[in-house]
Amino acid sequence: MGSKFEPKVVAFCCWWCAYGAADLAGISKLTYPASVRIVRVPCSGRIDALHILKAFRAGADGVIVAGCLKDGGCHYVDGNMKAERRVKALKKALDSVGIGSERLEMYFLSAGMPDKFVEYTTEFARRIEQLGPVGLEVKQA
Amino acid sequence: MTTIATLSLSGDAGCHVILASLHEKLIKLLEPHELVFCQILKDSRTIPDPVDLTLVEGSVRTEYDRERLREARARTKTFVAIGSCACFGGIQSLCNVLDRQELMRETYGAMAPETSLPRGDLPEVLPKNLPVHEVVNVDFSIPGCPPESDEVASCLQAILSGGTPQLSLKNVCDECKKERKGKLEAKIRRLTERPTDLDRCLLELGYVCMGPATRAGCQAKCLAANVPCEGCRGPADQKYDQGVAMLDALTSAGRDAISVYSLATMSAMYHRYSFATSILAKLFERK
Repeated sequence: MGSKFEPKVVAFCCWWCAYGAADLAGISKLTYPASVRIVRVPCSGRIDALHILKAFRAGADGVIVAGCLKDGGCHYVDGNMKAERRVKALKKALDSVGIGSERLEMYFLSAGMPDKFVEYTTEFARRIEQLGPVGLEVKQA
Repeated sequence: MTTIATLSLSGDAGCHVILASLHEKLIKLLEPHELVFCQILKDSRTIPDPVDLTLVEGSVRTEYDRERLREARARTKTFVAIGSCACFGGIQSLCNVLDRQELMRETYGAMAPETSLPRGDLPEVLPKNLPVHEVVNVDFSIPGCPPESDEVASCLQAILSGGTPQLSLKNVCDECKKERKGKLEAKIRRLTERPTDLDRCLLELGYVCMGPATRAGCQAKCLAANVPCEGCRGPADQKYDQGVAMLDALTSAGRDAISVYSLATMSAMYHRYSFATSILAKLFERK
């Protein structure tokens, strides 16, 4: 292990848009930080608050929720809006347990925006790198 | 013949009262068995060894509780946690947001001793209030504050005859008689405000009703009396975090107003009985 802090970022990406963007980024040979671990989900509305909190409990330093574009972009009508409300509420919860709301972010993408995907993840990973480790790693019961 | 012991830790003995409220059923249930240790009924101080079945109520708050619990577990074949304190830590777990020193100041104000907690002949207070399963292994849990007497009777019946007790896997909304229209009112209401429509779902009217995240089996009694569910029976499925599930339910139903979440105030609303087992509490501990 090197002395440099390598953050662990979990990115929950929806099947239809954000994951498509990530896929296209790969095909277009764009690079995004290796610290970002993508978890593909059917829709960003599927992400429970518990999924995000469990990611932190298991040692993630930051969590990204990425869904389709706002205003009708969602394949399941309003899944991304549900995810946005959830992320908003959870940001406050993370503040109050001492993790900090800046470690959780929601992004909206379409499948044709690989450059945006790279931009968002790079920016987020840099932010987490500056914040340092969250120090919450605990043994799973 | 099965020997039965009941143990009371930090709690209000309400679960013992529920046992007593089985009346004739209890006599019939216990007829072929023997109650060997029960502090509210029998005058004995030591837990006999061995015991076939122990019912434990209350949470683990002091060193004495913990020692007692370990002792009882070591002497018991089947160990049953009864009531929400034993299963999830109960209401008193809300004090887990404060450490012991802060708790003294919060409780006694200026009268709190400056430097230390009470010592001497008193057992030491543990840093956190714990549910029973975080200290010892538990075979069965019967949640509720207090548990339903019928449920206690049927569970005891099942355990005594060597079976597995069955708890409801549904949530309180499934048993609630109120009408759901699928439309949320924008305003969040407090408990002190009277419902405008007594037949309507209280969650839709803007009250925080824990029904969607709470285990059924109580016939939605509180809702029949027009009082929102407090979630005393814990999560419907043990894997779920009750308060976080409620947060999910509210946000997907379209409530923006809960974006004012703070642990100190909202824990009492979403995690009133299950805060000690909540993932938020676990994250908070590691701060």
